[in-house]
This record gives sequence, C-alpha cells and structure tokens, in this order.
Amino acid sequence: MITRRLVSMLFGSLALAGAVFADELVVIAHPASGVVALERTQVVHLFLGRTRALPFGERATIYEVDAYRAPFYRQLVRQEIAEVDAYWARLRFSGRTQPPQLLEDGAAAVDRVAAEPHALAAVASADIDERVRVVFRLPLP
Amino acid sequence: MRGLERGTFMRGWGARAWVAVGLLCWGAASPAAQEDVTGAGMGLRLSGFGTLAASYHDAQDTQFRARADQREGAQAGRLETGVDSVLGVQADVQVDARWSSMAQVVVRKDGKGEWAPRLSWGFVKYSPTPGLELRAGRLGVDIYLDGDSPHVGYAYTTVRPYTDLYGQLSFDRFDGVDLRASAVVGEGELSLKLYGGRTRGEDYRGGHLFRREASTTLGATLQWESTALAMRLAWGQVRTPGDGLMPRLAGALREIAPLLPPELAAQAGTRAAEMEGRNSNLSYVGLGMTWRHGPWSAQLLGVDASMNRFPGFEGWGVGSTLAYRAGAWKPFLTYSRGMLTPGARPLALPADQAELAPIRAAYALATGLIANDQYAWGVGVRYDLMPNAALKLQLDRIEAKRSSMLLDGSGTSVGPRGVSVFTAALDFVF
Repeated sequence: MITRRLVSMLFGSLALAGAVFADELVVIAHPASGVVALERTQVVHLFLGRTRALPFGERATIYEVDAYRAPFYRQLVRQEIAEVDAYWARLRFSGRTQPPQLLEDGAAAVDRVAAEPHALAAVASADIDERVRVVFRLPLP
Repeated sequence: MRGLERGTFMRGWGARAWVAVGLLCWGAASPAAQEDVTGAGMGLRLSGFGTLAASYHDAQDTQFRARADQREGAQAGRLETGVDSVLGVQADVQVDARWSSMAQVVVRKDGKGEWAPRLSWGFVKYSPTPGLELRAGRLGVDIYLDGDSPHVGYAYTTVRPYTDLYGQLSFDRFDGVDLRASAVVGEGELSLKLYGGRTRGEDYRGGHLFRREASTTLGATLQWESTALAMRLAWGQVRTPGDGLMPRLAGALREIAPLLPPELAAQAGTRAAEMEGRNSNLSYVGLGMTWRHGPWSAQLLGVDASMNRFPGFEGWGVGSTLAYRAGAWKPFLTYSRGMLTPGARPLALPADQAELAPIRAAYALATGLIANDQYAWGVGVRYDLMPNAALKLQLDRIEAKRSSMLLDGSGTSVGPRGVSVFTAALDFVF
C-alpha cells in the first residue's frame, strides 16, 4: 500500500497531465443495490465520508479512479484536489474514517462495483457496461 | 514540580508500544483481515505523514517554539529543524463493517529536547450503525479546527496551528473512550462527540517538565460541516486531584513561615495551601468556523480558558486565516492572539534577607510560568507541488509583552520582545 502511494505521489502529476476524459463522469452502483438515482448532495456526503450509508441504510463502499479524482471533485464541490486531499488527511490521521479506495482505472472500478452490491464508484461514462447502473451524472465543461 | 526522568519515559513508551502492537495483532489476526486485504475496505492499511521544516530568526536571547511541550526552540541565527518537523506512521485494521482499530506513532522532538517516538493514537472502534462510533484507547481531544491532530501539517493551510492558542494546550491526548453520533442534515453533517479518560501530554515551563498522569480529561464537541461551511463548538476540562504540583516550594514556604512576621507567615501559609492539596480544573470553550467560497477560504476561532490550580489563570485567544487557492498555489494571511493572565497571588517576602532569595526567585518563577500576552501576524504560501506533498513558506511576526511560548536562552519565559520567524516546510502524506 505504501509503495503504491509513493509511486502515486511521484508520478501522479504525470498521470493527470496525460489523462483524457469523456464528456461526463458518472457514479455507478450495482443493479441489485436498490439505488436508482442519487442527488448531488448525497454523492457529496458519500464521497467525502460524511455518511457511509446508502439510501436504504446499507453500508457503502466507495471507489475512486486516480485519474478522475481532480475533475470529479472540481465539478462536484468546486474544490481543487489538493484541498480534498488535505481534508482527507485530517479525517484519516485522526482515525475518523478512511478515504475511498483508489483503483488504477475505470475498468477496475466497474469490475468492483459489478461484484459488490453496496459499492459505488466514480468513473467516466465511456468505462461502463451493462453490469452496473448509473445513479448520478456529472457533466464536465 | 516533577521532572520527567528518561527511564520513566522509556518505560512508559514501552507500555504504549505494546498497546499499539496488541491492537494491530488483534486486527491483523482476524479472519477478515487475513482473507481480504483490499476488498470492501477490509484488512490492514499502512499510511503515514511527515513534515520536514526549518525555522530561522535573528532575535537574540530568544527561542521560538510551536508548542508548550517543546523543551527547545529555534535560536537566533541558527536553522532549527526541531520546531515543526515530524514523522508519523499509522496502521489501520478494518476487521469487519463494525470493528476496526488504529495505531499511530509520531516521532518528533519531545519535552527533553530529544527525537523520540510516542503513541499519539491507538484505539479499537466499534460502529454498530453508520452514524454511531465508540472508540476506546489512546485518543485526542477535539480542539483543532483544521485537523484533529496538530502533527499532520499536510491538513493545514499554514505551517502549524496557531501557536498563541493551541501551543498552550499541550495536554491534548487521553487514554479513555469517546462516543460520536452523526447524521446528515441538509447540506452537511451534524455530529456530537463526548469523550473522557486519563490525561496524557506534557508541558515544559520554567525549566521543568510537567505531566498530569493523575488528571482526567472530559469534553464534548458539537460540529456541523458542509463543503462551504464548518462550525465547531468545543468544551473541555482537565481535572487534577490534589496531589500537589509544587510540593517542594510549598514545603519551603511552610518551613520559613515561623520565621516571618505574623501577617507574612499567614500569607505564606495561604500560598502553600493553594499549592498543595487542592483539586483543580482547567477548562476551555472554543468556537470555530471555516468558510469556503470558490478559491477563497477563511477561518475564525476563539477560545476561552481558565484554571483554578495555583497560580491559576484566566485566558482567551483568537485565530484567523484568510487564503486564496490559485491552482497549486495558496497564499494566506494569518493573525492570532493569546492572553493568559495569572491570578493575583501576593507573597511579600522581605527583600533584605539573603537566605530567602532562592524562595523569592522560585515563587516569582512559579507565578509567572504561564503568563502570556502576545500576538502574531503571518504571511505565507502553500504550494502543492505534487499529489500528497506541499511546500510551505511562512513569515511570522510575533510581538509579546510577556510570553510563556517564547523562551530566553536559559529556557525561561520571557518579557517584552518581538521576533520575526521564517519557516520553510515540506508536508507529505503517504
């Protein structure tokens, strides 16, 4: 885990600089989760760790894709990723809660959500397939 | 006064380390942790944080320190790395959806002026529902608005929490329990936290290191946080039984009382009684607010504190920061002020008796240990040079009428003086 984070720290800028995005990012859920749609506020609460519960009360597991984080939070909460990372440092290092798990790419995130009924992930719309359901859309400028 | 012997510290550290190891073994040995290291957040996670910092100033006979538990500060004309540098390593074990544990060890310069590890957090958490958490172990009090720990520099816009406010509150750990209930309310999260336990921490004042091993910490925090606005109301109290903080000085006053005129003898007896055998409360109430709008962010907080233990004090402090995010750059302005006014404890020992000089000096030191009246302006910039790492440059101008945070060359609280401190810091998390 530490090695992965160090590599991410060293080369994350290059990855972001080279990332190519679709027109929109989407939040996906498992079709059996019972979640049909989420409001923006609900997405903010879930992805910033303010709640771990899905609308029907189940504990949610949140996944992120490294390359999508910056545009996702810039559009969702109007904050630079450095501000979001500082926010998570506050929560993580006081034992409050852990940040969403980082995955390498959108395909890995879709695989996880397809396999876990209570998982959510933010991915590009181009990444999704019929195994998952889009519950929130976030158009990119 | 009670100095801290190294042997005592090392024995104490050994016990804490075993607690940390025990917590981790308990979690790591669980079936969930062994079977699933990455899925659904279960298993062991290792992470950490650190700050590499150097401070410089040119005010002669002055040491600048960030916290009252630091024995040494930055001295004139020398680059000092021990004021803000820190390394923290953390292990989290998620056993299942309800049970987890965490241990965090921080290495920084301690009250003896040595780099030493200490257990800053180490607890088992039980969360029966997503909105309810019960934790037991080594925990922290809820006084820091930017971060729940003063050591995670990456979580702060500035290099360090406000020295004038938080630097004085070094008893910020406890061994006990906390209970946190939270719920989403509108755009934000409303939470209430209650906590209590045995006080942990230390305080270096007047050439002596104080600990409060027998004290009890109690507190409550009400917080509402949304993306644009966060507000926190915190109350806390450190209760200390009457075990005598300054038994040697009190004993000396009782010894000389029969040699003094009746009025002075009564005064000395009263002061000795105040030092001995009296339960004391150190209480504080803090109110803080953080506001964010686009690239702008602002923070304002105030603390009111008092202590009835000898020599007692009334105090207050304010802190504010205004910052603007422009891409990777975040310039900021900061202002803080801290006042601690000791209670009136007159003791008019005759100045013409040389044999009383040591007691006069000791009494003056004891009553002036915590007196503080200073403010600080700061200007600086945070530059997020890569994911999870930020470089900060900060210049602080500190003006003090009297300060228990600044020290003179011999390590004692100082009178009027001003100092400009420049700090460069690299904060990182991993």
